[in-house]
Amino acid sequence: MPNLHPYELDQPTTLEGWHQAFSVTNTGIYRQKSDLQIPTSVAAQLDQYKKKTLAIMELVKDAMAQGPGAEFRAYGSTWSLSPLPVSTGRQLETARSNRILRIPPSLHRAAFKRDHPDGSIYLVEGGCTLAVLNRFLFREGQSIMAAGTNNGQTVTGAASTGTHGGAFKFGSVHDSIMALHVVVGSDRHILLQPKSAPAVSSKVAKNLDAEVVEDDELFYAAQMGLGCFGIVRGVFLLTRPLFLLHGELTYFDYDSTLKTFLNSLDVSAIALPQTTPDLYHLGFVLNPNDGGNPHRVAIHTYYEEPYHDDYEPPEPKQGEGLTSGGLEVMSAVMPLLSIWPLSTLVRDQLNQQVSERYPAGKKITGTIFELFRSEANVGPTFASGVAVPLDRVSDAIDTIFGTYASFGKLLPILIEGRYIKQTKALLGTGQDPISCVIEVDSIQNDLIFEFMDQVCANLEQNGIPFRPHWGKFNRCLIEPQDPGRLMRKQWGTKVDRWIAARKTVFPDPQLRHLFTNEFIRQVGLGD
Amino acid sequence: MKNNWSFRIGRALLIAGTVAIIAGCSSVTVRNPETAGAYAAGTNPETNRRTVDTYFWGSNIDPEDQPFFAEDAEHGGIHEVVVHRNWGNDLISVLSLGFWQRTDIEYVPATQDVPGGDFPE
Repeated sequence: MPNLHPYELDQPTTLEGWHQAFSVTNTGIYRQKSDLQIPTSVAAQLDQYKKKTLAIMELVKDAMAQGPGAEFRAYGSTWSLSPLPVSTGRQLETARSNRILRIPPSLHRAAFKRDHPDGSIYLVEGGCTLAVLNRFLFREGQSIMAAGTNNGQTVTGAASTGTHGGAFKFGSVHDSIMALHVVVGSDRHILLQPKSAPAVSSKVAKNLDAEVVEDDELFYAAQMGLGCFGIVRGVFLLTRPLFLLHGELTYFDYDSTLKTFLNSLDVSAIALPQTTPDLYHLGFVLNPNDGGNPHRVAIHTYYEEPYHDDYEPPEPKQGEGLTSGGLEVMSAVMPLLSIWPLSTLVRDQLNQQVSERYPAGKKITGTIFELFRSEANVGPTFASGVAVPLDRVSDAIDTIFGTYASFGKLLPILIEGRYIKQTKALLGTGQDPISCVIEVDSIQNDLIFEFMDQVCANLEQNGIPFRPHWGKFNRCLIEPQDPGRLMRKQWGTKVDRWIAARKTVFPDPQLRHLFTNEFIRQVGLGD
Repeated sequence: MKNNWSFRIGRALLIAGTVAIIAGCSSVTVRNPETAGAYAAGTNPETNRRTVDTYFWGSNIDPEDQPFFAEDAEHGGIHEVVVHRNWGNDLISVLSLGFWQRTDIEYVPATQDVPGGDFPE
């Protein structure tokens, strides 16, 4: 029996996601022992970090010993709404692996200093949540570069699933990863960074006892690794000095002028409020139940300015009054919502909720830490997101509305869009110079899945490129009759490059299989 | 004789009531192992209490309680959560046939931050 310390193997468990989007039974979870002391000195933190790395290599060996079809997958907060983090094999619980160490400027490489003169780098252990990280960085006078709408995910989980905000001049969470420390076998762990833009000195790898690998192709494959490039021990995260965002919500008619804006981000096309010269985040909200046509669009702008403490931070978001049980009830009765007079009552109620949640002129100021936190919804929520090229945004909106009109059933859905900059990650969703991730959010029910299947089919039929969010609804990528067809259509040759990168990192087919799961194989990325 | 019976009935009701109240009190504790040693024995960490009501057989809750935020958990975590049920809570549930349910929750914020520091050169 290998020495798994400081981990122990727990019994087979059914992992249910935070949002109840999946429920998968594994063959056992490696959990960190609860009596592990919390180190405080840097030396002790690093020592524990290294001991865990050695232990995880033992876990790889232990998982491999399960046989040729064995799987081994790390999971964080189970925040994802797709089954990406779960496995029917062995799982590693990364919770409580949340050390954070600043990489001092003396260990920054020249390329990093050139590309990010104001940037800092932190080594963030794989199980650290964005909530813990944001609070820590706030104390340090630093901020992450981009965030999703909430903060329960681990940094690794958020990055591995393409979590994004509306930072259209920067990108998504994974774009702030400068280097990765990954266990890639039972006897190997590497510090992987791009050769063209290495961020940290080889001394860092030496202090981690890790092998240095500098390779653009491998790095940009692993940057959006989907959990398939080994066990991520830590990410080297780019941060920037703390800054404030001034948010405002402005309504516009959905006419040709606004379409021009949505398809170009030409801010001169419409009269946007402007708090500072620097627009940081741009998004929009549409309510398809408000008259059946997208005749009103709420544009969400966030302007940035250097941090100061003369502002009133926002209160955490409050829920909608529905418990997990309430959402389950809503989910169960969704097929009945279209029946008159219930349909009228429900539509009015939905519209009232949207109006209250997105009031015109609403202003808010805070840091990323204060603005994007506090997930209010618990229970069986549904979320989807597809990245479309900037010039096809209104076409995609029209397609979604057209699908809803022909679907013929009332659905409690809300449509949001957030713009992101192009990523270098091979399988990132933002492959165009600027993309807009258009999201349809609701409550889980077969009807909503059926609706989104039709949306994806219609987007493809209308010739609109779309790349589904890895951490949300993406079953349209699963095509048993032709696995990987849609993947290749949307990502092109990058699919094969990503697969080839895995073959380089894991020449052994059994090891390559170990870091996959059924979902990965179903979408044609298994080998 | 009559007084004797009244005394017996009163005593029985008192015992039954006491037993019901004692038997109706229960609590479940969830503790964060990472902060398990955060409070020394004998110290009295700040405990926050909140009573939460749910309606319509648990499907509806005051938005301020869904979820309620441990705003004073300044160090980014919760050390301990204790969920209490008592006889009064159960009585409310029984009399309303489950329509109205009340739960008392206590929580203790964590004290320990991620320590941080500079990676050694």
